[in-house]
Amino acid sequence: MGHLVTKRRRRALAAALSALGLAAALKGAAAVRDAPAPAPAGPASCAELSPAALRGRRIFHHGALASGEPVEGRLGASGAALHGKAAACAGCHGRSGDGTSEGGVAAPPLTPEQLFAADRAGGAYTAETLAIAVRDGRAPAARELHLVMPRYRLDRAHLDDLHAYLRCVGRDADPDVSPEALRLGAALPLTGRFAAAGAAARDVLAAAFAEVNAQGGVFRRRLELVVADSEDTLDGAAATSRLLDQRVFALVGSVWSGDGDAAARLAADEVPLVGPLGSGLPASDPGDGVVFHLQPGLDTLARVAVAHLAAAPAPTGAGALLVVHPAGPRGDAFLRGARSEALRRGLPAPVSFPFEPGRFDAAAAADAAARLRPRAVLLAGEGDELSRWLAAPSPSATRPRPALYAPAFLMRRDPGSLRLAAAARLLLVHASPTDEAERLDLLSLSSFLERHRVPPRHTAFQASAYAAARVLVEALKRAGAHLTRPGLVAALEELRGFDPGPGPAITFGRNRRVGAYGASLTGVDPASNDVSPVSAWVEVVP
Amino acid sequence: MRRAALLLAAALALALPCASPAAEPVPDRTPARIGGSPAGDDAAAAAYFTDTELIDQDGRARRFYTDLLRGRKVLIHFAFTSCKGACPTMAANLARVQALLGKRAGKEVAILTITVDPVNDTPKVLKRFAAKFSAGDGWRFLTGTPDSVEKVLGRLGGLTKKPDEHTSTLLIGDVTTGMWLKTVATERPETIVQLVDHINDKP
Repeated sequence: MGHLVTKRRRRALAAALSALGLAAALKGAAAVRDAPAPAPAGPASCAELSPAALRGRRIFHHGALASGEPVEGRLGASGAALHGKAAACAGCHGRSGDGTSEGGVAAPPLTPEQLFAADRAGGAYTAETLAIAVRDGRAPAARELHLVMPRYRLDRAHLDDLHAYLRCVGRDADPDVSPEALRLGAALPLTGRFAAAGAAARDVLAAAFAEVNAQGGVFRRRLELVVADSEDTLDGAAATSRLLDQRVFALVGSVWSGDGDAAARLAADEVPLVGPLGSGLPASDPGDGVVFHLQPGLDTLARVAVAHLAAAPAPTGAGALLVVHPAGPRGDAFLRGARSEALRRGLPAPVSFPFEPGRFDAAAAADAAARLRPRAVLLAGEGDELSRWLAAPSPSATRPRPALYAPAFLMRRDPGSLRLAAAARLLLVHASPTDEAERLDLLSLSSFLERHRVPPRHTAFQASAYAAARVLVEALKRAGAHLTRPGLVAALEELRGFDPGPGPAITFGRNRRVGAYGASLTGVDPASNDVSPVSAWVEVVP
Repeated sequence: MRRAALLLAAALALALPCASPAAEPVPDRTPARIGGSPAGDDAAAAAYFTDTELIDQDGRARRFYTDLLRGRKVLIHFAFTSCKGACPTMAANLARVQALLGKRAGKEVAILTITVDPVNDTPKVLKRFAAKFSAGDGWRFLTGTPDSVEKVLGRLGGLTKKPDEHTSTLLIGDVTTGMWLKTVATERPETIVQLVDHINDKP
């Protein structure tokens, strides 16, 4: 494997150099690998980056100056400009500066061994020659750099920062990563009302890490779980702050409410949080940041309901959709999902019926439905809204009631509720698959718990913690041995359809922080009052 | 029908890498008739191309065969918005083709840009990308669920393991007559329009 990588790297390098018309340098390229690198800045000095190198690191990885201002680069002849992240060096040259090849255009390695080797063809780069190359696209010996290498608008101070970082790229070990161990944090309620659930999640995380450690860890690093007690809350802000003070590398299966200060600190420290717990489904996809959700957003649930409705032939004289939802960001996300999916499928714009959270008036909502005669009702809420809607007398007894969709977490499973649900032709929208494969995943979770002597309790919480641990471990494996937090984020962004066991398959992307865009539907059979699948997992496009 | 489908897949699979299109030899541009013929074969074409659902840059659902291919000539190419290599060049070139087509773009001739990176290229991202090239109504930028996009790319010989391995192939076709040909998306715009105009000419 190592041989392959080396070979590929060398080939990429060769391609780059020949593309640049410097075939003679090939000999030098081979030497780079074999000879010990006479690097001016030894690894020791990279253990802690200087302030200048830290600023340069930001330019290299994020295309941003210390002020937050985006870096700008122009492409050769076309003059097209790239800004910010798109102009970041790491985008083409790799996070460790190893170089990459895209569509046959090779971006050469920029490691210190490469740039600053005394026997470099054309001579080792200096601060001066590097500045000319980055700014004007001219390498030593008047060689023009490839057209796709942007010419950057950076002043000399910024170029010197970049130079300082290039002396350490690929060796700047994250100070919170040791070769032996990786500390991963979880804020969980260990005292108070939710203590049993918190302990259940903690035991699952610990068992998942123990299993990895028994096989030698990830790149020989032992995974250590650090738990902070969030006490009597599922909020986690204070406990998360304490974990950040303890410099954990990442957070996993940690309770999280998206609280302002803690969220800002998490983002500023660039500490990824995989699989937040305790706050229910996310409202929608934040699109960026360091929090990676494993469950679909409320907007996606609404989208799946509308897509399901649109697939059925519309009855004659069918009205619009009525969306009954709490006022506020979560209800608004649900409404937004319904609206955009209706627009996508050429359905009339859904009508919104908002209510004050916690003050749902079922009779008023039923009246609104009777007046509007909608084709279907989509109901959102956080508590007993669905029970109250089902219990409210139907004002239009002479007409069949419209189809009714609601998130499955609103449904009570007692026989009375199920009977009412069947009569209302209720369709439940689930954030997880409800198929045979999911049943098997839950079975294998049970045997995992048994193996590790973790008593099964609060199964939903345990399943979420287990999936969070699986996703994090997978991303750590993909991030490679030279582990950094941006590297972990990039590895998460490259997950495609990863099956973490229970729950939906996970796909993240550069602007995708919700791992699942889909849902499944069940209905209640009027004869048996059993909940049974109505549709398999339905994927939607954001 | 089966033979026609195989032929098309084979013809389209001869794809070019994204890399430095200028250096690549231009493929043989002789139109090939693949299936299609009056009326009767509409069903066969529909069965081959399928009505897989794609989403355009305005967030609208489009059935691949019925809404996008049927009843007009099409120019199809593959791209992804974060491509730093050939994609912007290809798109800029197709923008010139769009200008040359003028009013014919849309009704008579449609340009379809299909993303090979559906996860990152959401309709919103495609909308921004399309705006950069002043794409009009006759130019659809298409994404979908990863499964749908894979299905469509498979039918067109545009499947890749990684987005950056996509090809710079431009397919020109007319499902009504069943005539298809292939060139590179960086071909001179005038030549592309000429190929569109003469795709149904008798050899």
